[in-house]
Parts: sequence; structure tokens; C-alpha cells
Amino acid sequence: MVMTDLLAMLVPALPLAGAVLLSALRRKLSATVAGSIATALIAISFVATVILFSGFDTEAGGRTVRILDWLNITGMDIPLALRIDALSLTMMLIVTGVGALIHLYSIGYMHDDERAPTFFAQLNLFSFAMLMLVMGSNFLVTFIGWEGVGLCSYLLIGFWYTTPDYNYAARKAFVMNRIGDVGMVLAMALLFHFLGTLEYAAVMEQAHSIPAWGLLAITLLLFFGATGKSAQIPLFTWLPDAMAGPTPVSALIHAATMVTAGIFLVVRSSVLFELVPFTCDVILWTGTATALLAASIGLFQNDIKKVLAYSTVSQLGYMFAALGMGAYSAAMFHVTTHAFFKALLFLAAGSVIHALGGEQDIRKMGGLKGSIRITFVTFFIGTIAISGLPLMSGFFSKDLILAHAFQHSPVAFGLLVFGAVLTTFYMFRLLFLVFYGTYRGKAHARRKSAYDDGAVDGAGRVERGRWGAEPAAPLRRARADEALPGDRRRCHPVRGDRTERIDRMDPDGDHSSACVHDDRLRLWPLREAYHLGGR
Amino acid sequence: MIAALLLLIPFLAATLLVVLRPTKHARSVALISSLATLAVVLMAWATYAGSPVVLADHDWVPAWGLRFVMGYDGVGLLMLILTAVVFPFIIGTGYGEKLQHPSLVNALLLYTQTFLLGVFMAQNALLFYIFYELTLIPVFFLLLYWGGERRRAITIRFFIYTLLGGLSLLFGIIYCMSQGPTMNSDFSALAALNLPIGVQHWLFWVLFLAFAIKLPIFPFHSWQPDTYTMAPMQGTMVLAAVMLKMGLYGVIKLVFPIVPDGVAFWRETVIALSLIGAVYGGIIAFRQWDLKRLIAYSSLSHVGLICAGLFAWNSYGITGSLYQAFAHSILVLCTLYLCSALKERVGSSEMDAMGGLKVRTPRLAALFLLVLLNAVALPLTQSFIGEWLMFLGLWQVNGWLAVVAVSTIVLGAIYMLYAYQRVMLGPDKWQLEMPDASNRDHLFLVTLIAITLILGVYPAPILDLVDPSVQLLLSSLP
Repeated sequence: MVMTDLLAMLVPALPLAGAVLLSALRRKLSATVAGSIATALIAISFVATVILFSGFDTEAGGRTVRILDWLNITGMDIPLALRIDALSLTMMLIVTGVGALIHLYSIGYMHDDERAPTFFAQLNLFSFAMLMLVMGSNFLVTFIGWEGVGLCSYLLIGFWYTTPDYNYAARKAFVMNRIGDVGMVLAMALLFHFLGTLEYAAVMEQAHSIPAWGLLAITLLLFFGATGKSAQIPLFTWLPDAMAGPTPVSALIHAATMVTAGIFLVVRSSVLFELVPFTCDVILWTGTATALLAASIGLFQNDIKKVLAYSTVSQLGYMFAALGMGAYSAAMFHVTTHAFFKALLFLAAGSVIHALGGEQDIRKMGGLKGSIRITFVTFFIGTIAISGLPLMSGFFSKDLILAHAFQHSPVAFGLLVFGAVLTTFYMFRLLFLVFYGTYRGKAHARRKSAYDDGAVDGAGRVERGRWGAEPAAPLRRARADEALPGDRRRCHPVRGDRTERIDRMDPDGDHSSACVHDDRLRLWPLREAYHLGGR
Repeated sequence: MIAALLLLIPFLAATLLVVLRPTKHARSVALISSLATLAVVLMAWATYAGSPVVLADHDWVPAWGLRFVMGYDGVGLLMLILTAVVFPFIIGTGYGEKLQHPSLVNALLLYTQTFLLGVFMAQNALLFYIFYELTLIPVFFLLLYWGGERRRAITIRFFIYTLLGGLSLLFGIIYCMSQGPTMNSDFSALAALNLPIGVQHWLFWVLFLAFAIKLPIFPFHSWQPDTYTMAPMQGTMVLAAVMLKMGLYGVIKLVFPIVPDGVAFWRETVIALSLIGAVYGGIIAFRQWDLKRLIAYSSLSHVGLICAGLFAWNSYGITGSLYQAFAHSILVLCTLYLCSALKERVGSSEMDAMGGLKVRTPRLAALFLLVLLNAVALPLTQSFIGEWLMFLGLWQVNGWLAVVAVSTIVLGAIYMLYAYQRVMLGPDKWQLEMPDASNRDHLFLVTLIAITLILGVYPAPILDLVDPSVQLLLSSLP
């Protein structure tokens, strides 16, 4: 049993150690070494989690590992303690598993960034915070992680700090998260006021002794906190802007892990929510509305990462809808499958962006199927998974949610099915615009071959990242060419109009023709819809 | 013995500086003195067993009820620790600030420390008052001769405000003594007065006014931003890091025990005023273009919250408030030191003159960021512990007040991150050649940040110190 406790402490301790070590040595380490250290540490955490998971006895129930007295005064005893149970183990597997793969992918992606060691330190710090969030044995320890992931998200969105727009996006994310945190702090204060404890086990046991208005306030406030972290109405606008960060960050933080913290919180305190049907309804309808709203915004986005961002918001809406119906395991299942296919989609998108030297506007892509085949295949798999095609993970998890909705409320069912149709539509629109048709970009022939070279390699990295091999030498060859300039800094995805971006991308380019070109392309979604509808 | 050491070390060192005027070694002498004081206080902490300690007990002017009674309990010791910890940093900041007549500056700083230590050890109201007013004198000269623009007008306003508060306090103390059976102004004697409720209602404001100005809380704050901005960096540090804590200490020692019914009657008003200050300071801080002025308003915001927590008047509120008082001192030292370091490099503390400095000074930016964590009260920093306890305390008073209090965490995040962005982030706007963080910067900031993080992860040393005294205080109230 002591062994289990040590392992449990090791899981968050390793990434924390990595964060401290890497930031202390950030000037002495090369990108590859720093990346390897960070990846190795989180991978060991993953192994430790797997050992914990395989040794976990569902019958025996959870275990609490007390590390340290934290807040211990008269009338209050809130320790720094970890909880190992089915829920936290599931989340730990996602965080360390997907996390390790994304760390690995980042070694290649951040290879030519001079601040790569800092990046890996922050990525490791994020993993630590996220692990504290899911492993905490009381609300306040969860809150350490809750704020910690907010901080890391701020740091990583604003990683390329010389661009004011990125800094703005980072600040926006932090502040909106903070607004949600007000709800969380108030809920915790109320809980403590009524029960004198914040330990999950004790709170759930004594939940029924809280008066009705208290329960209503606590659950609504907790849910408000969750909307901030999980980008639900009304606090969802930060997530699309958060795409300013490096793509691995979008994959890890803004798709697979941090944004699911809200779902986790509701599941963790499900006993409270069960007692207040009104809050459950609020969650159901907020989730459904977010799912539809975000999906319909996603239809009209032209930035590859923003489409995926709105898609994430929409899928999170599905999860919340499931929570509102009391289908906690369906929600957690969708969290898990979504973590994998959305991370896959983001990493593939990163590969596309990297291959095109920083281009993120899908109107300037097209026809990439042939030149970056592996990326295409991975992106295709991700697309059919999120669309819920049978035999894909998304099919099972989304179908489970829809099935619950069918039993629960026909209206919600209808809306969610419609949302699923929208999902399929915007995802395939993305797929077609990026990979089919002809290339509409402004890259000149002199660059083209080099792009292809880099592109294939970039795609290769997705695969290797996915399956765990080293990034290969050809990558460096491609880089040595000036073919892959650090252009992603310059064409920012956040704001700024199109012509400006063209200016910056190609100062010698023919502006008028580019604009005409673009105007024609505005009709793309409509044409696409026409074709799809026609078939 | 401890009382004598604490009063004599800084006093003699200061007098030495005034007499000998060793321009070159003035800072070193002051630094050694402050470190010696720190050692004595840490020794006192190590030997503190949890019950109040009496250090000295002599009659002085019996006819006025003035007695030389010195001692400390957990709260007093916390304040002593705070004063002793803070001063080496304040004096050390002088190495970067090129002020004229360093021996006089350091002498004034050490005199201030002497009187502050006296304030926190005094167990007699008149003695307390004497030290309380004495602290004003060295600070007055510091502001008047080493201040910035418009120093004369601003210093005089500051002086008038504090003096008025002080006179009101003096009147209150004398009134209390006249109500007692003998002329005795020991804290213990005053606490036993049991004044009629009607008297307590007005006496509350007579006693509290001085502290309300000193802290300051809304609407007694109008001297503060100008004074903080105009004062030399070390003067601002003294004002913000220690002197305003006299206000908190005074409330605990004089207001709570003497006029408990008055507190009960007025406390929601005071909390509301404090919170108005907290919100107002946070909003105004956002609009500032001068980093030092921003720090002044952010301090106003933090202090508002601290005062609200104190007047929650329950175990969580008071403990949290005291914890946060300590955290705030460390935080204000960090931010003002950063401000001084930036001014040294850029030549101004206006944020428009900065921007993109991270390109040139990545280490300084990293230190700034770590300070920021404490400023926005992220968990595992010192400020979080204090704020969380205060929020709990306020909940027990009134849920709506707590909602307002908690919402200040958003304001803090907004103005601090905005400041960080304007100073450090963005493109390298001015292309100025400047050195990155020096060894001195590292020594200072890393030490302070370490204190912040250690006490954020393991707050027990301070909580265990404060908790019994707070329980004792609360149990003695009706």
C-alpha cells in the first residue's frame, strides 16, 4: 500500500520536477534534450499511472494519499492530498497518455524555436497542474490545479510574446477563466460554510444535510466555474482566440485536457448535482445550446485551427448535455474519445500548418491530399471519428449521449442530432477545402518542392508522435533549407484582415489578384453545401 | 532583553550614521543592523511557546497612566517578524537607488524601524501612541527631502491626514482612561472597561479613524496614491510594507477589545467601505500608466480586502487578514523592487516607456512573472491562503459581501496581467541596451519569491503562530 502511495505522488511530482529543472537549465539545454527530458518524465508518469490502474481494485473503492498538512487551523483541516479512484485514474490516463504523445510531437514541432526548453518546462508544468486538478482529494487541491492550468494556458497561448495579439488572447483566456473561478471559489466557500470540510468523500456523504437553497447555489456556482474552464456559454469566446498558441498546446490544453476540467468537476461532484434537478436542466440546455451555437459558428470559420476550436466547444457542449441528463459515464466516455480524436486532428492540422510555412487560412489551401498523404490519412481518420461513423470511437461515445437524450428529452435529442449533422458538415468542409480540389495558396514554385518535402515529413511526425518513435533526420534536412521559415509567428490567426496578412506573407505579391481570388472563394461553403445536398 | 535589543540595535546604528556620516558604508552599516535585528526576532520566534510574553514592565509617568510595558503575543510577534524581515530588503534597495546623503536616508529608515518595533511591542495604549506618532517623523523627512515632484504639498497633506487621525486616537485613549477606575492605559486595563453601548458607537470611530487613514480604507485614502508615487522608493516600501500594518495591529489591539459593541454595530459598514476601496482601487489600477502608481492603487485594493477580512471578526477572517498582511508586505516589496529595477534601466517608471523588455531582459521578466503569481493569488502562493481564509470569514458575515470580495480576484488578474504585458511583452519597442537581472536582483527577488512559495505550500509556521492568539482574542469578546 505504501508502494501505491509513492506511485501516486510520483505521477504529479515528475512533471513538476521537469518544469523546475527545465526552467532552471533553459539556457543550457538544446531543444531536443529539453524535449526528451520532458517527454521521458511524463512518459514515466504514464507508466506509473498504468501500474496504478492495473492494480486498482474497483471493489475496494478509492484511496486517499495525504501528502502534507496545508490549511490547518482551529475548525479547518484541508490537507494537500491525492485521491486515487476510477474517475481520477481515467483522467490521469488521458492526461499522461495523450500528454506524453503531444510532448513527443512537440520535440519536432518546436525544434527550431530558440525558447523550446521554456516551452517544455511550461508544458510539464501544465501536466503537473492538470494532474493536481484530477487527483486532488478535496475541492481546494483541485483548485490548485484549476488555477494552475489557467496559468499555463496563459503562458502557452502567449508563448510567442512579441506579437501583441497573442498576448491579448492569452490575457483574455486567463481573465475569462478567472471569471469562472469566482464561481468555483464561492461554491467552495459555501460548501465549507455548510459542511466544514471540502474532502470529496465527506462532502458527498453529507450532501443531503445542505439546505435546498444552498445546494442550488453551490451547484449553479460550480457549473459557472465549469463553463469558464470548459468554454461553455457564456464564457466560451476565449477558446477560439486561444488558438494563438503553438499547435501542440491547442491539442493538449485546448482540446484534450484542460477544457474537460469542467466536465470532470461536475462528475466529481455528481452527488450534489443529482440532488438539484433544476441545475441539471440548466446544464443540459446550456450544453445543447453551446453544442449548436459553436457548431454553427464552426461552419463559417476559415482558419483551420478555429474550426477545430469551435468544434471543441461544440463537443464539450455534448458532454455537458450528457451530464445534464445524468449520463456521467457517457460524458466521461466522450471526454476520453474526444481527447484522442481531437488531439489527432490538431496535430494533423499542425502538420498542415507547418508544411505550408505557417498558413492557417483554409481558403489558401486545397489539394494537399497528394503531397502530404500521411497527414491526410490521419486527418481523415480524425474527421470520421468526430463525425461518428460506425466503428470509430466517436460513434460509440456520441451515440451513447444521443441514446440518453432520446430517453430523456425528445427536443434535446432532435437538437443534438442536428448538431451532429452540423459537426459532420463542418468537418468534411474542412477536409475538402484543405485536402481536395486544387491548391489555392500563394506559394511560388520556387518554394513548392521544399514545402512538399517538409510537409511529408511533418505528417510523418504526426504518425511517429502518435506511435512513439523518434522524429527523423529528414526533418532537419528540410529545415536546413530556408523552406520552413518561422512564419507561423507572422501570420497570426487571431485578428487582422486578410489583405494585411497577404501583405505580410508576400510583400511582392499581386494584391489585387489575391483579393479577387479570395472573393471567389467566399462562395466555397455554399458550393460545398450545394454539392453535399445534391448527392 | 529582547525589547532592549530590538529598540537599541536600530536606534544606535541610526545615531551612529547621523553622527559619523559614513557616505560610502552607510548602506552596509544599516544592512548589518537590520540583519542583527532580524536575528534577534527570529530567536524570539524560536523561543515563543504560544502564550503572551512580557518583556518589560515599568512605571513611567503614573499620573498619566503611561507605563513602559513591552511584550508580544502571536499577532505582535507576527508583526515583529514582518518588520524585521522587510527592512533588510528596504535598505538593500538603496543600492540601486542613487539618493543623496545615503547615511541620512539609512538613519531615517533605521529610526522608523526602531519606532515600528516599539509600536508592535508596546502593551500600553499611551506608549503605543507615542511610538505610533514617532514613526511619522523620520518618514516625514524622508518624503520631504527625498521625494519627487510636488513633494512639499503631498507630504503636508499626508502629514495632516495622519496627524488628524492620530489626535483622534489620542483623544479616544484619554477618554477611555478617564472612564476606568485608575489612570491606567495598559491594553489589558482598557479591554476590561465594558463601556456602555451608546458610548461605544461613537468611540468606535474616534479610535478607528487613525487606523482607517493609516491603512487606508475608502474614503480616507486620498493621500495614498500621490504619496506612494511621489515618495522615494524606499519610503514607499516603508509605507506600504510596514506602516500600514500598524493600522491592522491597532484595530486588533485597541478597537476590538475596547469597543466590541461598536465593532458589532459598524462592522458591516466598515466591510462595505473596505470592499468599495478594494473594487475601486482595482478598477483605477487598470487605468494607470505609471507602474508605481499602479502599485499604489493595487495596494489600496489589497488593503481594502485585508481590512474587510479583519472586520469579518471571526477566526477565519482575522487569521486570513493577518496572513494576507504578511503576504502583502512581501508582495509590495517585490513589485516596488521590480519597479525600482525597471526605473534603473529605463529611467522612468512610466509603462509607455517600456514594452517588449522581455526581449532584452528575459530573466527579469521571469522574476516579474513569478511575482505576478503571488499578486493574483494563485494557489500555492502565500496570498491565496490569506484570501481564501478571508473569503470564508466574510461568508459567515454576509454572502453578498463575500461575492463582492471574491470578484476582486478578477480585477487583480486584469490589471496585473495588463501591466505585465505593457512592461514586458510585445515587440522590442525602444531597442534600448540594458542589462538583464543582476546578482542583486536575483538575490532579492528569488529570496522573496521563495518565502512566498514556501509559505504558500506550507503555511503552518505563520498559521500556528497566529491561530492561538486569534482564538484567545475572540474568546475574550462578549
